[in-house]
Amino acid sequence: MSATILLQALLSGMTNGAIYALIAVGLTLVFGVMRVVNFAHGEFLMLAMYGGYLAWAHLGLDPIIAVVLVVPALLALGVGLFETLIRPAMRVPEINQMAVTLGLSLLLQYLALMVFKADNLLIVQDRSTASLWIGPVLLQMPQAIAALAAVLLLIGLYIVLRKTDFGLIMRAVSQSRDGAALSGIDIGRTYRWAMGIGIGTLGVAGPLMASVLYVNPHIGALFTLKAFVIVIVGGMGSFGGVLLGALLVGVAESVAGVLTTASVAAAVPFALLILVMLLRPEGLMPVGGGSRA
Amino acid sequence: MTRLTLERVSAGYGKADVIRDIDLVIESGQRVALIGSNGAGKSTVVKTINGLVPTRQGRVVWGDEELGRMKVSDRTRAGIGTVPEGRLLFPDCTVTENLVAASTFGAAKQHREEGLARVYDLFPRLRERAGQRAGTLSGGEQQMVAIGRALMTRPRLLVLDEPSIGLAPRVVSEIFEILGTLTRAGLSLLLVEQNVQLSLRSVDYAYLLQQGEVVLQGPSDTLLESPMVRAAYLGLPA
Repeated sequence: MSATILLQALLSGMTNGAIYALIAVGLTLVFGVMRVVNFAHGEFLMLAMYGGYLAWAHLGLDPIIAVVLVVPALLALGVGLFETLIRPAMRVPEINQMAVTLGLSLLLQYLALMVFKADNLLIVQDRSTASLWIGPVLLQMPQAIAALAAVLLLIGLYIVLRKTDFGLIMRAVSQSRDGAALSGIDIGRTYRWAMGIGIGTLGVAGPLMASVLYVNPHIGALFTLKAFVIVIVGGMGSFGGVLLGALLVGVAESVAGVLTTASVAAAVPFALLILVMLLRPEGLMPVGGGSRA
Repeated sequence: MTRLTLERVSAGYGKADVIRDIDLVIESGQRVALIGSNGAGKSTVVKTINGLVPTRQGRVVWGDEELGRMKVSDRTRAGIGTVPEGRLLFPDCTVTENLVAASTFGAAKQHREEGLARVYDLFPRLRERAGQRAGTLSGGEQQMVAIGRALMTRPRLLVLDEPSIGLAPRVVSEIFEILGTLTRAGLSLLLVEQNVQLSLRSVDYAYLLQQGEVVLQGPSDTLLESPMVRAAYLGLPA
């Protein structure tokens, strides 16, 4: 195997990793701030992908433009989800919450099946077959655009979390809910925004991914699984952990695809999960250096 | 001027009431202690005031407003600052971030810089540690952050739940000295302590809680002389 092929695998893996990070960051935000495990996370990605596809197929909108419409829609769905299902579910034991989000995941999949049918749909444009040469290796244009958007959004999110009152409020609530309430922070309002943004970020990923991957009603489940692997490998609720976990998963998958077969490569993220759970169960970059007050 | 009144308040967890028929008044600018042994219900009284535990019966009135089901954050915004048991800091945030997080609303936000300067003047040691993560501080320093954070919310009443617990005597006296400074500036104080002698020396008036009920109350020097308090809590001959 040549060095070029390995380099190619690394680049594709990093590109995928950036997109995975964008998907997983919303999951970790919701978990970190609210301690809610949202099994329906991937289904919102699926909806965002359909949003992008429909905007292209019926309105002729470029997926990059569609993002502007799909983000507010997903943000509203996130807020709506919080107000209707999650807020009441937060008063019950965690196992019941999981049942709620798991049920929602199935409900959304089958509703999508009713509305959109089981067809695989893909946005096809002139640039779909274009590629970008970076030295000796190449990147498909739609993938490069999605990865670039992911990197920009992650940087933006990082700045918001680190540098603004809004971000500080999110971090404070994630570290001590009662401490935050006693500091005058409205917990319900913080939860609503965490869910809105956690799901709203999928509004960026969805339309751009609909020109990379076929969308169908079950596409979300795959990404929920991957996002969970990433979040657990990285350390639940940690932003840096998501970046690290996503890059690891993306690169491991892609390099394994070159070294072995595609079916083995598909199992690699889960092997990675088991390995991390055995050696470092708190994740690679846990919040608070492994302890939480 | 804002006065806090508890009228026949009962509260608890699960099926049992932990506190029953508590009557308690803190006048504006007054320093009040709530004393009693472990498990007497002191923390539950604190939590009915700051809203972390709902009242089952009775009323909590702040100024002319009944707090009822008012949210925890709204009580803080209304001027009741709490230094909670266990401090409940944001361990991964820096000292400054911990303080700033308590000034994200209304007047507290408007006067944030002023508030920070005031807290750092009261606790110069925290100024040196401003950029350090709160979780890495010593117990005494963490307690100072917790007090500073409560002050950032611009309270008119400061409620402290066991501020001396687990701290070295030298740190405790430092903290109590600062509490003295604050109350001389007009802040009302509710001090909840297991350290009975220390708290009675720091306040004007005190309530003794036993098994969820107020069994004795009065000016703190009267309580210091009370045979019941001397025998049971100070280990002195009645």
